Amino acid sequence: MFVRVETGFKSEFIDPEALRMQRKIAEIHPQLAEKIRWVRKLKCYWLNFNAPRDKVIQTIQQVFKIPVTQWLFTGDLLPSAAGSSGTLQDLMQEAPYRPGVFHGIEKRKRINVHDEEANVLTDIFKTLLGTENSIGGIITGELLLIEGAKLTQSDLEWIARHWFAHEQSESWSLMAEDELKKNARFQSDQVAKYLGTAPVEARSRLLQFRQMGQPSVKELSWNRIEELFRSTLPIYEKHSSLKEEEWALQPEIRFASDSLLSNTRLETEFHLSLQQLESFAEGFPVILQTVLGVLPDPKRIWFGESYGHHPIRVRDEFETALKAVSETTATPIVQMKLFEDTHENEPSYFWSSSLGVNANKSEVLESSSENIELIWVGDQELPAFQDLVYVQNLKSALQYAMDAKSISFVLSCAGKTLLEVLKRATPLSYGFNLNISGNESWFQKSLETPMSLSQIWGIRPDQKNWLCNELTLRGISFFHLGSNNLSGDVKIIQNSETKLQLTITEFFKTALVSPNEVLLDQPIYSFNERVERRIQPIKFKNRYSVEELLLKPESYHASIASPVVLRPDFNHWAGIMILSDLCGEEFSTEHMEYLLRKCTALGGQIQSMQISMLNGLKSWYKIINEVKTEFGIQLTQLELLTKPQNGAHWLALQLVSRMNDIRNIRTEDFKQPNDRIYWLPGGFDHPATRWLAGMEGRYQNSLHSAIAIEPSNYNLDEQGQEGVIKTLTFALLKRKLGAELRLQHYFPGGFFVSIGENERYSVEEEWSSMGIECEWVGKVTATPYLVIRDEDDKVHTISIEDLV
Amino acid sequence: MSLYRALILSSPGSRGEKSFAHALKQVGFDAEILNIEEAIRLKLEQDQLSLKYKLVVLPGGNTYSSVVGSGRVLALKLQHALGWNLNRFAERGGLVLGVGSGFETLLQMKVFGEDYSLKLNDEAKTQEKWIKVIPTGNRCVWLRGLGTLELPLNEQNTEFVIDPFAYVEAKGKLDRLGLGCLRGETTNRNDDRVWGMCDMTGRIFGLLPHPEYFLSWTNTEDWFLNPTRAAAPGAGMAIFENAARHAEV
Repeated sequence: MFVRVETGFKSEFIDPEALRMQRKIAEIHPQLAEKIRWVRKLKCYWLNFNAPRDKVIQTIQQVFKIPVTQWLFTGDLLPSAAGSSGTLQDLMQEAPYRPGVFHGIEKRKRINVHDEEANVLTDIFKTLLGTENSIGGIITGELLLIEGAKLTQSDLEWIARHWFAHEQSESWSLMAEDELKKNARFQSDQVAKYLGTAPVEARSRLLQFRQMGQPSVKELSWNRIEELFRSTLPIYEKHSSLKEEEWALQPEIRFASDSLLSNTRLETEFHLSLQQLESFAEGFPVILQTVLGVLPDPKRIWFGESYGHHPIRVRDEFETALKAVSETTATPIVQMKLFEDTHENEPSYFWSSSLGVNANKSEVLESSSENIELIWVGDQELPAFQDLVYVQNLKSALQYAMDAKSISFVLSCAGKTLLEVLKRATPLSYGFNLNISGNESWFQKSLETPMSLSQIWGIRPDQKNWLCNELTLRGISFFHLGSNNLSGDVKIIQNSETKLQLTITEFFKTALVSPNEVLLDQPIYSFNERVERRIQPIKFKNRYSVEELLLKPESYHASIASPVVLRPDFNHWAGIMILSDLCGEEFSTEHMEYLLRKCTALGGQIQSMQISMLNGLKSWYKIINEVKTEFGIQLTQLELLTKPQNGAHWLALQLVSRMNDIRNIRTEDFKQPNDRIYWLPGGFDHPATRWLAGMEGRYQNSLHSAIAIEPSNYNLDEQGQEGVIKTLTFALLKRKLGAELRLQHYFPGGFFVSIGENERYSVEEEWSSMGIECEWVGKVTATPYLVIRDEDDKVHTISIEDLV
Repeated sequence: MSLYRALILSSPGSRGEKSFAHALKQVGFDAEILNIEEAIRLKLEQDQLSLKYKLVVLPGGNTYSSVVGSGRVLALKLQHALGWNLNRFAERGGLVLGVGSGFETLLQMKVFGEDYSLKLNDEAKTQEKWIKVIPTGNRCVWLRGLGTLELPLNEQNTEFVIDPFAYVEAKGKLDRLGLGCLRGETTNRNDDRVWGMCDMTGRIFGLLPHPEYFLSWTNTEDWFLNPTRAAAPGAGMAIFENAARHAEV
């Protein structure tokens, strides 16, 4: 239950704090002070209760109602606690100039900024309500009620910025008189939006984006399943008889900037730094800025970035920072990336970033025995797992079951396919049965597609019933998947009929792969607990640590970087994609939609968004409010006004999304032999560009790679072929592949894409239905040679390595 | 003199516990400082309180950062986590002293009735000064036999407020029944000049100035002008001596 509470002095008493602020403003800005005729300050609280309504009402009265001096505004919850009308109009009537022109400035602590007041309140609510989980979250803030007919919006902004709100830890917004007089702000969806939990209605739009492009489930193909079950799976990960801490992206992630020199931590939110924004506005001065984040949680996730124009300085500074973080937090550093962002007529801009997680806290569970029931716990629909409450419920249920010693083992499924989970499950290594009746679609899908946050629990048969009841009561979906045994066989049963039977030798035919052979690169730092508790640099051989998505947006000027994907845990393939964009006055809901679609088309599940402003335009406030309500995204807003208003207006956006498996994402690299290569025309607002960016169509996820070709101004003599060959060569290099190509004419700007043989028909059909004229160019081959057939049908064979 | 036990209940943000302990030890109490969270952990509920202690002190300061209202959270904790009813404690012979924020805690617990409260002063600033206060009436055992006292003040919420809707009745209680037992010379926009209150038994006493900060003559700013009095006790000690005198009753 979401409740908003406002408290303020009764109208018969003066408000000393408000008057004091008025006096201070008069000293600094006398002209403005003359415009303020009356002012009042109210305390505001946004509360999320997990308790019955009558209990909540009683508790709110106990805590907030001080009848002698204060009025209590709660919307319709306690109308009698205020004056005659129960709204702020009771206070407004005491203003000396009536009817008067009223304005409101509301400030609130940013989510996850340390809020002592909220902590104290949480403590007291727990005492009064009697349960630990009775309070879901509290944000505190204040509302300034001002009367003044001549006050303009810029005056109010000045007051908010200079006197009322501390922008690094508090966000503020202006409220019109109509809003103040009505009680709409007390409605639960309005309150929920500040508490970081988007209301259900607002999520629907987001769900659309998340579900977009999900492959449809086909009929079960037993030949394919058998092939998969008999296949040798490259396994280099440790077996999962251990209870693994699943890595989950925290939507309410708190980042902290760490001042390395003084070694003191100042908590703040993750944002594009002030200096970074200034660099865009003022023509790129040399700036080096490090932002490091540490989650004050046992499962720490931290994120660091460093920017500047001097690569060695960026690198050195960043490495020092990483070491400092690793030493102080005992966090291994998993990924690091240094890349360059080049702009026309502007100096290069280097950017490095990193993401780390704690070492897995592993706990050896009791050794498994036979006839352990396998229960798959989770939800078949992905979006449910974006719901933090759901995940917390799941975790508490697991803890409950663990405490009761009902669970023998837990297999984590996040970011892994079912096949991978089964093939490396030690508790199943003497044989098991899978009963897939009723869950065929899930089985087919999860066998090859990585699963979302879900788990397979091994439960003792005698404990099964009560645990299933417990899960049902907690609203967690689950189904019975099968059981393990000592038969030495692996069976798949559908409708009481054994559809597939293998021996365990055939099934557990795994090959250990050395990390060097893994397609994705090693982290450049490793954590060796035996040697010492610090990070060790690893020499990496001309390879990037993460895969980089590179799909040039059509509005090139608006891009500050390509999407970056970071894999935080080396044992899993899940990662975070950060899609950045910088835009000027053209920002609109359409722009936002475009960004979201692009994110989804690249395979990301949208988590949260950060908006930073420089010299904010008034029109943006409206649009941002629309975005907040319509898209239901966890939106953190940071407004900055660093220079006088003659500076450029910028709005920096960072969309954070989760990738279940970064191996499946579309990158520049060609993925596998026999993929078909096509050329698609590009250009602003061309159907092909719109399709690639996810604006239209639904088969973008079938693409194995997409490479943007910039139209070349300099190589017209070579018909642009040199640039094309160069780009394609680099795309082949990483996996040591080759290609057979027909380059028979000049290729202007556009895209080369590759598609697997199986997916070609559906994609080609979609292209033709959308009027996209694709051109088949060739195919990827296993040998590292580029075989080019030119206009005169002459064949040129070049070694890729020679070309490099 | 028999050794009675006194409880000084500290809480996050409270100040002056050691001064209280020092003063109470001087007058013969066995003083113990206990944090509220520790008291909750020890389950120091109403019955235990009456059995163990003769005197309870709620020190001043900025308890719980004055969240919701000064003294409010502490009052809720005492009422709901410990189940304290200080009126009943006083009826059984206990003594209660609340100073500054502690006085506000007593007001929030409605020990003196529902119609009184304290409010932020007009300056919205902490007032640090010495004020002259005069005990009135004979109800309060803490002030019995005392004349004008000059005590230090260190408070933000100095404005004593009576509920406007019950003004006549509440004002009558203050004056006729002698609940407003400490009046000030200066008004400070405080129309009733009430700087301290007691309950009907006279054993629960709350006041805004801090007697614990004037235990010795050297606590005054200009004591060195009269160095011969350096060893003399301060006016605050008189209040604690009264407590010791009436503890047995």
